[in-house]
Parts: sequence; structure tokens; C-alpha cells
Amino acid sequence: MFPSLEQFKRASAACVALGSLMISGQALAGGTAPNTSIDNIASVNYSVGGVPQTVIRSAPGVGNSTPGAGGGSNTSFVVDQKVDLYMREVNSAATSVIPGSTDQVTTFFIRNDGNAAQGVNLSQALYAGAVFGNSSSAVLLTNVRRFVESTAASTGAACQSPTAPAQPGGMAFTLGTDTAQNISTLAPDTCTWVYVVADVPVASLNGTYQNVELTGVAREAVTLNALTPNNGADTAGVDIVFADPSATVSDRDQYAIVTAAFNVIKASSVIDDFVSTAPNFKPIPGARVEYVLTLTNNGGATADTVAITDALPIQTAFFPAAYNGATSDVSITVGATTTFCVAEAGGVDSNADGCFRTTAAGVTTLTVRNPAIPSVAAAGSVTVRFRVTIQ
Amino acid sequence: MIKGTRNILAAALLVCGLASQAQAQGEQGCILLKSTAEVAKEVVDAKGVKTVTMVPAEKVVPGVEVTWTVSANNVCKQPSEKVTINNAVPVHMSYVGGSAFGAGSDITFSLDGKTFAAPAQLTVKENGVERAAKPDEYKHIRWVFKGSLAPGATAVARFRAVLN
Repeated sequence: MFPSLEQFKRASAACVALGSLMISGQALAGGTAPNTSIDNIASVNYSVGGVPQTVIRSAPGVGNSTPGAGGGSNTSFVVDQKVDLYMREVNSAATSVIPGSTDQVTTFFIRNDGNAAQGVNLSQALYAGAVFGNSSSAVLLTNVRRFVESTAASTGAACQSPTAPAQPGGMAFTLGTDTAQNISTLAPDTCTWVYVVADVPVASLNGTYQNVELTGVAREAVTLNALTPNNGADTAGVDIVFADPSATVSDRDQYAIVTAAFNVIKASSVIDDFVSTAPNFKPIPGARVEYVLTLTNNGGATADTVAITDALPIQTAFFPAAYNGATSDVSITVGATTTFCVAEAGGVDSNADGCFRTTAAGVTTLTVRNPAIPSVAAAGSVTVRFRVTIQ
Repeated sequence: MIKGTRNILAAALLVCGLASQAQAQGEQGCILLKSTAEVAKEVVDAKGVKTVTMVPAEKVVPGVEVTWTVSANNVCKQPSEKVTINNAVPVHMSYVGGSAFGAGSDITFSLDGKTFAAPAQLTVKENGVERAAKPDEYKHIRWVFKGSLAPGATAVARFRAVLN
């Protein structure tokens, strides 16, 4: 058969060139699709008594010993369906909310890590345990709802990192636009966002927390029918395998209640009694007394509108024009800045500077508010001064 | 010269087995070649003791590791020499580096099916820079068994690959 060994060697080289078959398969990023047949066939070259034999291909079961391309067959298995969801709250931090506010949002990220499209049934609830180390307070959120982002699912890098990617720039919960309660279909490797939305009672206290939980159960895409996993022997068809117990994922998030919380200290001092010498002034009739009100915001939020009303003691009369070169009645200091206002008698703020006084049944009440009082940031303070004369 | 070339081509076709008419029907070779696909299954017994057994590949989903075993059993009365097993890494699978095994064999890999070499010699050019090929880039595996395979004896080649 072979005139010389040399010719056989060249024949073998030709065999390799003719026989080599390049298969390059690109794997789906999310996983090979269910029902794909994975096939493998090996081959053996060998010699007997120094004589090279025809190549033999493999077969499953008992194997194959028939040489050549006609012998052997694929050892195969079919790819099953992997149901695998991934859910995480976004940004690993609580959402700060103000008492009395409505439609406050915590955001959750959800991605399909399986190899087939799935629907997702969602449910939301207040969570009794701790989140970020804080438990919920007694004043519970009301009207707790959930909505799925209405924009089409994202894919690629937008779904991959960090642990729970935030929505792409510009995407945010929009009441009335994001209305879906469940996810009809989420393709493999795609992701979207789900919002838990709630109202915060006015009675909620600064520095307290409310925790919520969002749960997702993988379902058949579009129909949202329940999935039945095959935990028994492999079948010839596509079996469903749950990567998550009961095909369920969940995560928790938190609302942090923040509001302004004022501490008011009222101090008074006799600044002159027109009889004694400093500093021995006494609170006698005719003496001038200065009241200093210090308001400190110990809350977690800026107070936008602060109004102080102070009823003067009956034994005193308001002393106007005490400040600013005898032109202003009240002095307001925030940090290094001092401003003034005129507290008109008669209950009407004619010059709209935020200050006025009212007298009723013999009691004079001073009111100091915007624009005289600026907003007070968390940990900030404002000092208000005015004077009276002891009657 | 032309006659010699024709002989070489005919010889090549016969060796490769690509010309089916040249084969005698029903002729059996000396190697019974078997290929199996298995996955590791964890079994927990009544006492809670976990053991891992290999079972035929089932419930294979992306991420699962499959063990492919090729066994070559000499079914003739004479020894077989130069037993070489070739196996392409199946499509949709990625070879697990270091998992190829075959007692008494030299194992090499190929990225293109033409050049086979040890992992240290396999390189890939990426963005103009040459780097070592990664195991999931290997496309073919070859086991060359040293010595001869006695009648009735079986040479075993094994490797693991993950389903993409």
C-alpha cells in the first residue's frame, strides 16, 4: 500500500491538512440557550505491528470500533433551562425622607442571570427586621406600592457592575408613567429597575427608619405562569433548573426619616436699669431687658420656613429701635452675619420684612419669620434678639 | 512524478478514512473507543454525610462543569502502538485549565487544530501584544500514549469543560 515510508509521512501530513476542521463557537454571554445539543466526538490514531491503522471515532455507551468516517457517533446532552434571577437594592444606603411627604422611592435592581427569558412576579412589604443596622420605628409608612421601570430593559455593561447598578443617566421613577406591577419578560443578561414607593406619615420622627422588602419570583415569560422545576431524573426534553430556592429572590431597603428638630433656648439679661452701675443692673421698673432666643436645628434636614412667635411677659413693653443705629427692632444672627427687621405694631407686616407685633387682651406677641429668618440647615442655629422695658 | 503524487493522495485519503468507498464494510478496528459525559452530583445520606458521585450528564445548565472521558480499549490479539487520542473542546464549552489527564500520555493543546503544544508554548496576539493563551481559548486536546497498549488493556483520557 505504501511504496515507501517517506511517501506515508507525506500522506499523513496531507491527512492533517484535509481533515482539520475549525469550529469556533461564540458563547452567549448569558449562557447557552436551553435545548442546545452539546455534541462531542473523539478519535484515536494507532498502529499495529508498525502499520498505522485507520482512525476510529468514539461513540457513547459501549463505544465504537468501526474505523473511518462511517463509524462512531456524538456523545451528547441537551442544555436545560437555568432560572436564575439577581436582585439588589441600589446604592447600599437609605433614602432620606421628610415627614408628611408622599410617593417616596427606594430603588431595586433586577437582572436575569439565567439562559432563558423569564417573567417576574413582584411583591412589596414593610420589613420588620433591621436594615443597615437600623430597625423600623413604630410609625409605619403608608400606601406602600411597587412599580416597574417602564423603559425597555438594559443590557451589557449597564447591568454588570457595581453590585447593583443604578439606572442609566436620566432614568428615574415617574409616577403615572412607571405603572407595571410585574415584569412580563426579562431576556437573559438584561436588567431593569423596580421602585418601592410609599408615603411618610407626618408623625414620623427625625432620626427614625422604615424598612421595606421587595420579593421577585421567576415565572414563565409573558404568561407569568408558575414554573415547575424538574428535581428528578433528566428528561429527554428541556428541564427547568432553579438556581435560586423556589426561583425567588428578595432584598431590603430603607427610608431614613429626617426633619428639622429645633431646640430653643431663651435667655434674658438686664442690660441697663438706669440707676445702678454695670454690671450690677437689676430688673426694676424702667429697666431695659434683652431677650436672646437661640434656635438650633438638631434634625437631619434643613428647616425652610421658621416662624418664631414670642408672647412678651405682661409686665413688659416692647422696646423698639434698639438695634442698627436705632432703626431696627429685632436683630437676627446666623454665624457671622447679622440682619435686622422692624416689628410693626398692629399685627400687619407692612414692610414685608418678616417681623411684626400684635397686641390682644393686654398681651403683646412678637412674630419673626421669613424673610427675616433664613432657612436653618441641619446642625445650624439662628439667634434672635429683642428688647423690652420692665413696666 | 504524477503517478507518485496520486499514490500519496490515495494513501492520504485511505489513512484519513475520508474516502468511504475504500473501506471494507463492517471491518472492525483494534480499538473500541468510548466517550462519556458526566457531572458531579452531591448526595447527602440520612446522616447528613455528603458524598460526590459522577453521574451521566444531566441538568446541565450554563456554569456546570462536565467531565469528558475517552477510553480506548484494545480489542485485538496484538498490541497497539502510538495510541493517540484527539478530542476537540465541544462547542459552547470552555476547557478547565489543568484538568486534562491521561496516565502514560503526553498531553498537548491546540488553538487552531493544526499546531499542538504544551500550555507554556501557546500564545495569542491581542491588540498587537503577544500573551499566553488562556485555557478557555484551547480548542483541541491531544493525548499521545507512550509505550504500547496490550490486548484487552484500556487507555483513558479525561478532561473537564464548563458549559458556557
